[in-house]
Amino acid sequence: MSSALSRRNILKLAGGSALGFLLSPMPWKMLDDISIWTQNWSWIPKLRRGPVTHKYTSCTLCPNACRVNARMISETPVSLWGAPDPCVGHSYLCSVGLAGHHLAYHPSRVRNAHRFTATENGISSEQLSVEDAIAHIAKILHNIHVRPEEGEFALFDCRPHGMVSDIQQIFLSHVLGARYIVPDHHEGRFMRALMEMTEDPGQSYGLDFSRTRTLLSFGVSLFEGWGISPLVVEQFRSRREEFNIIQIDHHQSSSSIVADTHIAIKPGTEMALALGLAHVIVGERLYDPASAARAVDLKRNKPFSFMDLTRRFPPGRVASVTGIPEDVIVRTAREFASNRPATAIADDFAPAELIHSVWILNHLVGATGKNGSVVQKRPLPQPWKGAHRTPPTRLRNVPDHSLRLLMIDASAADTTVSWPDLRRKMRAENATIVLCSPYRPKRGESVDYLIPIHAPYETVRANPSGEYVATSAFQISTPLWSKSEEGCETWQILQRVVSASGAMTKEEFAQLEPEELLRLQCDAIFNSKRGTIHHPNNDETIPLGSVLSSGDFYATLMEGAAWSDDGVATSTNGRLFLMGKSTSSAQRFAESVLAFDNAGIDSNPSFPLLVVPVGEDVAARFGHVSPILSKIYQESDLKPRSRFAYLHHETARRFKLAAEQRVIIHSPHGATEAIVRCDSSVRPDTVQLSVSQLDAISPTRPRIINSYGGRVYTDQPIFVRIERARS
Amino acid sequence: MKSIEISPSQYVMVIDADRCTGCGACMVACAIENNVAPAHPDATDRTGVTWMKVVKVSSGNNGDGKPACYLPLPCQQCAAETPCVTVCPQNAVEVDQQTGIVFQMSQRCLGCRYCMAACPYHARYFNWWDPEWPEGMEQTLNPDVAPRMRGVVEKCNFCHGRYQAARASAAEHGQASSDPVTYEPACAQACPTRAIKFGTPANNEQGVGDLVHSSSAFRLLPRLGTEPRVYYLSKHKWIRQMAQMEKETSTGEEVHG
Amino acid sequence: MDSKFITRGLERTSLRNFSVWVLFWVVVLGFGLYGAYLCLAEGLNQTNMDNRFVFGLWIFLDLAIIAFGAGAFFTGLLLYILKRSEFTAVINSAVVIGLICYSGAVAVLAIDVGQPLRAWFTFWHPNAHSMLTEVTFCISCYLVVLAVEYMPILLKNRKLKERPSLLVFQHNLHKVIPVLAAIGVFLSFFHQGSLGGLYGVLKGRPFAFREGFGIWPSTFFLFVLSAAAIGPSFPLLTTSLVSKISRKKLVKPEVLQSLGRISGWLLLAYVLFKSVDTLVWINRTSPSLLFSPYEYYNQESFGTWILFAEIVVFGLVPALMLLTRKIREHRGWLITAGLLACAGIAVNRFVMTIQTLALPTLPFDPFLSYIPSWQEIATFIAVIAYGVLLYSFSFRYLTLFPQERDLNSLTR
Repeated sequence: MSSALSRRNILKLAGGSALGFLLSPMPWKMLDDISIWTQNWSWIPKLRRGPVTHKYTSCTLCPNACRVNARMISETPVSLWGAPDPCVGHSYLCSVGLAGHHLAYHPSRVRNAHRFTATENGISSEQLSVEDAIAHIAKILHNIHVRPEEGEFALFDCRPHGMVSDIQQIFLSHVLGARYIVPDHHEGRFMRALMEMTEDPGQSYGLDFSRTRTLLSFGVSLFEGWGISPLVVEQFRSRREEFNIIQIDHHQSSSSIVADTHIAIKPGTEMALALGLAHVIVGERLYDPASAARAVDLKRNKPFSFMDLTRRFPPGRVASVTGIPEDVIVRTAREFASNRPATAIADDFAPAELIHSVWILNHLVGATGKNGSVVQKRPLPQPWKGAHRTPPTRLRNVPDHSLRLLMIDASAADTTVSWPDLRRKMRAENATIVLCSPYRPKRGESVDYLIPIHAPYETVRANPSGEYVATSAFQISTPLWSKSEEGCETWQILQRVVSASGAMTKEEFAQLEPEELLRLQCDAIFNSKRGTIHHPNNDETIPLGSVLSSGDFYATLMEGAAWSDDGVATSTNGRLFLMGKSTSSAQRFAESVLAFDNAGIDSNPSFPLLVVPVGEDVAARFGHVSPILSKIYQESDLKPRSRFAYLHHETARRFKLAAEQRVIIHSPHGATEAIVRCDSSVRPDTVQLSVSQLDAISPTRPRIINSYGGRVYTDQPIFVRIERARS
Repeated sequence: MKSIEISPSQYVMVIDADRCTGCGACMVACAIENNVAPAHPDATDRTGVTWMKVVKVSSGNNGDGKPACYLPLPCQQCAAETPCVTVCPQNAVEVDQQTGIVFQMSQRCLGCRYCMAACPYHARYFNWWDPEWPEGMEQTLNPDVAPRMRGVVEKCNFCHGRYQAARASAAEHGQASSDPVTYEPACAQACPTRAIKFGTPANNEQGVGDLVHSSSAFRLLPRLGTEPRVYYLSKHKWIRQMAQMEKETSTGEEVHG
Repeated sequence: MDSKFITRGLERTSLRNFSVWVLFWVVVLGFGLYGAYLCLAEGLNQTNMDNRFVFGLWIFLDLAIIAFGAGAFFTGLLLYILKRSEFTAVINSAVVIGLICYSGAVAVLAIDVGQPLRAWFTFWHPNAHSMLTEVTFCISCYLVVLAVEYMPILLKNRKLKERPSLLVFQHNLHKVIPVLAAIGVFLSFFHQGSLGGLYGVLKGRPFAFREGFGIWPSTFFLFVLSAAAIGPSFPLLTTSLVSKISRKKLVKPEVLQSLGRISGWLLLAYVLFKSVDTLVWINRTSPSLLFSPYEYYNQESFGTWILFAEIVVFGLVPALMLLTRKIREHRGWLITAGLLACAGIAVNRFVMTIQTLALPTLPFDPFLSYIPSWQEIATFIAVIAYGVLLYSFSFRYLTLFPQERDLNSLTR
């Protein structure tokens, strides 16, 4: 075996090996592996497998309480869809609601209680148990009890709504001097304003658009956002042709694009238009005689009366104030008054005098108390009828620097709280803010304690219908996850705090679980013997009377059924007060109209452009919505963006500005930077800015944001000038 | 130009532009259905992944009282000369002859993006980042659609996962595999105003068979000869003309989308 | 120190100077490779490309350098097939340049795709209808051809020649080079054309779409012709540049002039066809798709000047210059004309890639702009540094210009 190894041998070996290698499975396996690797990187999530089931529940993200059909895989929701809702008629979810099941996994979700302390390097946080946090807070509450001069205790309810707010008020009534604070503006404000103008107190109203032919909207987000939207969408979908929408809007919103008519108006002059329309309706005797007979004010013409006020707004004048051609004003008034049933609506966040003027229009055309417009409804039967409750205080009516301890109930996903305002109500020293929220505080929210509560769909929640629907309704938002995580509800934390501080006296409230609370509500409804139950499983509606017991009723609701009240046959003949029922409200309205009448809104020559404020992506980016909403707010250009100033081409030309140029926007109150974008939909002499840009240039806070509808209101008009930024 | 080469048993989508309110529910429903991840913090409207994308189109000076409209833009599922199919170097795009659906095999895609350059409707999206869900949220992924990875192209496929499920359930009920099955993509299901309708002209689900022949029906860029399977409806002449480029467009037009 | 590696009779700068030069480019290469690494590791989000601007700097430069690399195949065609023996003087240099251009382009392409590990899928599931399949096949085959063509040049190195086995191998290789050159010419024709076809077939991009013959759009032929036209011009430029940097005479001026003259004729033919093609496109192709050709040139920075520049300033003018004997014989003007011609091809590739993507297709599309990110630029700089390094080593240790020894000894 001593044959020398020749070069030839080596070459042969090499060649043979190469060929053999090719014929072996190895290279092919490698190719195969590469293609499998590139399809299954370890960081690509694995999909869950399991049986597909459906669960019915309802959405608590906004007061509309839309019904939800959840697609479940192995007891975990993978998608949410709208389920038929006979109360409103619709069966869809908005973009925020479609992703509601993501909220339990929101990146800013917290599972533990935290205490925050301000240090030199910012704010440090420390985890503690919920029990400890409650003990700390109860101690502070006890101190307040002992030394009331140190400041007050208050609960801030971001969304006062239904029985949960009710029971919070009951708990607070056990604490001496405790306040129950509600936002200055919140959902249902528009509807509640009607109570000031009708005769019987305590009467609730709802909107029934099922026969409405003309809808006159003063800047309401008709097709997105919360509140009236589902009612409008349902009519738009089912009877588009007979449903004439006139949208009065200061910018080209999605509502104004979809509406049959868009009347572009100068921001802040909407009330003048409403009174101008009233002027035409009265002058041309287009009003509904029966309704006019109920509104006796119409005949008198003494100072500060309705006639005196509308007299000041002839179409010609309104045209010059609002920037709307005179003939359009007259034509709109005629259309609104003649194509009946007609309803005019304004936003919950609109100025009070605008809401008032819009109701005047409704009264004039006989919308109030008519089917197909504004209908009466019976309120939801309440448990604890006689219990003592702490009355609500609006945030602006709370004395500055008066609060020692404030608990915030942030279980509502979208809150319209102005944090600086809240801070101003706290004592300068030694004040404690407790945030009850499923999420970490947002930027700029300085809290001392954070106590985690349930995210939507993690627990049972009472879910009464919104303020706008024509009949009261009640559902239970049942949890989608069978094994609920640690956490509880704000009212339970409040209950424990109050108990621990030694203030709670009534045994019945000392140990109340969410299910018991719901049973109490169900009992109250069951005992009223009114209404029907709709079950989404078989899409059947049965009268409540056919249900044997309150327990059965509760069980049916837990399966996703909904209760709704019987419709009330309405045609009220009570008196209508065009100026408001009380002298003080009439006077307040008259004063604000006259103040507008005297001052108008005039521009300063050095600040020639009027700001049109709009909502934008900030709410979606920093608010508590699913990150998947980035598809709308970040990955598309569908909504106006926060860093841009939108100008009409001609305005841009006049001020020698070009698209994509960096500019500085000056107002008498400050300056902010932006990038110019030209858009033919923006009115000349205005600049469209998003709410986050207003911080620096607006004289007043708060600005109230209906973030999902893109609605922003400023307390007064803002005038600016735009200059090119020096690079 | 109404040359319909589409077999009546193939799926079409009909989108009523006059009913679209620009709410974006279709975009969200689509992303959830098809396991598209939330945006990377740096993503923009030009680097995001939105199989369904709603754009706002202004009329410029042509509008007949309607200043603008919203157009939802899914993949147009071109029936003829499908631009993305012929260009793909490795057959990662194919047209299902039975359903007419243009299907992107992301597993085979190498990410050359030639198909994106070829698509005149900009309906294709590249994964510039790895898909990432916040912790725990991956549990809510739809089990019927495989998530894609960085570096590949993806696009609307008329909710292929739903089609497969409908096909499987039809087979269980003994339906022949050649018959079209009835199902609905996520965007159509989510649309609050029912602006998106879907079905086969043969079965006329949701009236699509009639709608495609209506006088207000039109398609995008018909002269390219791509025969899209997505139809639009509008009673406004300027919208129809604009989409079909029948008239020279004014320069005062701008878009947000 | 390294003189025993340097071809006998050639004078090269000191090893120290050479080391400084190499070190500089190694640093540049390192920086560039870091950019490329980021694109591979972090993904293409490192670039400024997006869903609408799907191709950017890389594709434009790939197309341009592949056109410039055409010198290799075209000189091969002249020398081995048309038997124009005077081009032996530049063939080695042209092969090295071609190798650099093609290998650089392929490397950049590998970074440009989102999943480079799947690049072989094209060979596994090829789509015969795709121009890109044709490009991929031809470019990878041609890269192998170029590597083989580079071998004899490498093996002629003084030190390597000392090994008899390599000498035999080199000698055998030499015999097949004309065959390889012929294969190269064939492959080159196809992929240069297919690169043009890449855009010409895009009916969805009416700015780029062209009618053609059979499956090939007119851009297919225009790309072949334009690549052939600068095939001689680019070696002319590189030779002059190397000559300038090394301060050596490398080839006889007549060779360069001859290259210029061929380039001139081909460029003239290209300009002629390009003009006809443009007229057909303006008057027939584009209007038939309902796109008004004038709209393309109304968009922002792209006016008709770009068309004028491409066809006249960088097309007709250098063609006429190269065809004028007086101008050609003036070294400065000859180089200027060559530069103009190469710039013209670069403009053409820019128009086909970048301008095509910037222009709207849907009636409500905006005009798009794109500026490459530093990572994209760095990756490209890496290719340049790699090219300079490979060329520098080849120039120092191999015989790229056979006439160099005689020319420089004459002057001495």
